[in-house]
Amino acid sequence: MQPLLELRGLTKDFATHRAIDTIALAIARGEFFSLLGPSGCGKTTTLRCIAGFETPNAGDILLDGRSLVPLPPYRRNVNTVFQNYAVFPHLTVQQNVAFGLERRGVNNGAITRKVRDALALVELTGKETRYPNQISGGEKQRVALARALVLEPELLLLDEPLSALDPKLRKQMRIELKTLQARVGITFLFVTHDQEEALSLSDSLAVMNSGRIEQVGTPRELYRQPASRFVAEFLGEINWIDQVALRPESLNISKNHPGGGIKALPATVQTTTFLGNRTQLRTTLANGRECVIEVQDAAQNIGPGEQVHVWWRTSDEIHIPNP
Amino acid sequence: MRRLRAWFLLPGATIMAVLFFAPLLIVVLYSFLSRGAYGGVELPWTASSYTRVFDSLYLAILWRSIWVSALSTAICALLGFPLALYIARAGSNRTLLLNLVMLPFWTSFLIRIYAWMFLLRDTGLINSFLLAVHVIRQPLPLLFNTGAVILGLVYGYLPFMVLPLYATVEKLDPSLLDAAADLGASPAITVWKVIVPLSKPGILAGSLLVFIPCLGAYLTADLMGGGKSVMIGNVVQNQFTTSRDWPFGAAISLLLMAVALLVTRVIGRKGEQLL
Repeated sequence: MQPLLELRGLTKDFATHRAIDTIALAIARGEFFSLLGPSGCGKTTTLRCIAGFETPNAGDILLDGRSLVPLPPYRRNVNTVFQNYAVFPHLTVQQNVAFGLERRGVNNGAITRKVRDALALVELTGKETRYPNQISGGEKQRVALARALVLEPELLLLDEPLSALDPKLRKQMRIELKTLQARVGITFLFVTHDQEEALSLSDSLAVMNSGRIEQVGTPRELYRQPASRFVAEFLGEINWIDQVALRPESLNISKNHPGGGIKALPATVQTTTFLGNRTQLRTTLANGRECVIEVQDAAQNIGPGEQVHVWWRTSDEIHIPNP
Repeated sequence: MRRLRAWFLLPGATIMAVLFFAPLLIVVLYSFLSRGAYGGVELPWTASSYTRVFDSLYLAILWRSIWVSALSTAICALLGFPLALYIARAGSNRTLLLNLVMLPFWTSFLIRIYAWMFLLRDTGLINSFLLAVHVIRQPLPLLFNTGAVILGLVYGYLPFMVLPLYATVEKLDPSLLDAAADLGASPAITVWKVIVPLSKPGILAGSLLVFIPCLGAYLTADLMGGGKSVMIGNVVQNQFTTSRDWPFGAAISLLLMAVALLVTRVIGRKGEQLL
């Protein structure tokens, strides 16, 4: 099946550096796809190339098999939700959402109906006549979403849309975003530096690092079988033990050696941190390396300074080619 | 700290009191005195200057000054807006371009007006050239008319429009322009639907800075209008010089000030609503 969006050898140079370097990517229709990476990795530049705000130096961007590159942003059937919302301060909520429809010359009756539906979708009914300075950050975020979704784009680009919200609201919006995407069926391309966000929201994701894509796959694949040390370390904490990598939750701890046939190493507990649903223990192995362990049960009276054994199942080991 | 702050106010407050409020008080007093035979003022107190101010002749000149100033302001806004927008987007050339906008201030305004007169007069550069290439047979009447006055005013006050406009446009969040394009607005529509509405505070500030001095301008009107295009500033000037009617000159200048204050108030209110 033809992908909805395809990037072929996409490259973008700025005056002093190469922001993205021959990227190839395919996103299926209806997918929630995330571009995950640290700041400066080129994920936002990639998004801006797709939206049309940047012109790539090489490569092609295909939407439904047709190149977007020659089209200006206002002719692309792609819409963006900006990091700082970019809601027009001189227009009311309603006028903001109607902006794109007016540009398309949609008749007034249809505009009124579509704006009403879009505002209902993001639960902003009743705020139509408010100006952006009269609503909260979360509400502005919804206006930005409604404003883009009302145009029924083939692809919605979201540039770190949750990063400006406070943590509690961020988690709530995360769930809403996922529900919303499933309901409208529009393909989402979501850019974030937050691995928890990317893992929890995406059908598939790509991890980017200094202008290149490190790995593409489902959240589970990337977390369980990272293809590089960078991916392994970016997607959460990881311990390096004898050429293999282990996630903190794959490690167990006991005062005595767990018995024959099980891989185990002696360690000294440094700190224990109660995290509610789990307990995190920072330990030091015999070779001096730090090892982080997370266990479900509240670490049966094991305290700092105690000598313990760290053990794991061979099936939980992560083998990374050329780490 | 609070006492120190009061001291900071002192130099400015002194200058305003001695050089602005005191002369203003003198003007108010003069306007209620009688005309002296050889200029100056005499007793008794009278309000007769004010009754003359509302003579239809002077009201007509005042009205004319208002529309000439308004038209000059509008032209400044139309010329200044694209210029401000261009400079704001000029990247590293910004400082250079801003300095060029302010460059005319390096020479006296009088000299610059004379330069315009040399360009525009019947034997000036423009007419000589057009005659020489046989585009025209008679020199074009470029100088000593209302058009020339408006040209002079626009030329003189354009920087006062460009600078506040630039300050506003430069602060516009670039992602708003991206958002407009993203939602299907062409660059021209983006200017009209997003940049212009968001620049209103700058347009209002610039309009005040151009309109008020235009209203009182007399040098440009005198030199480039050639006496034919009389503005209210010239009437005031005449009362203190050739006509030697100081009370009347004082009364007209106070009327002019009232108009300027009224305009400031109206535009200021509008600005408050926007912010």
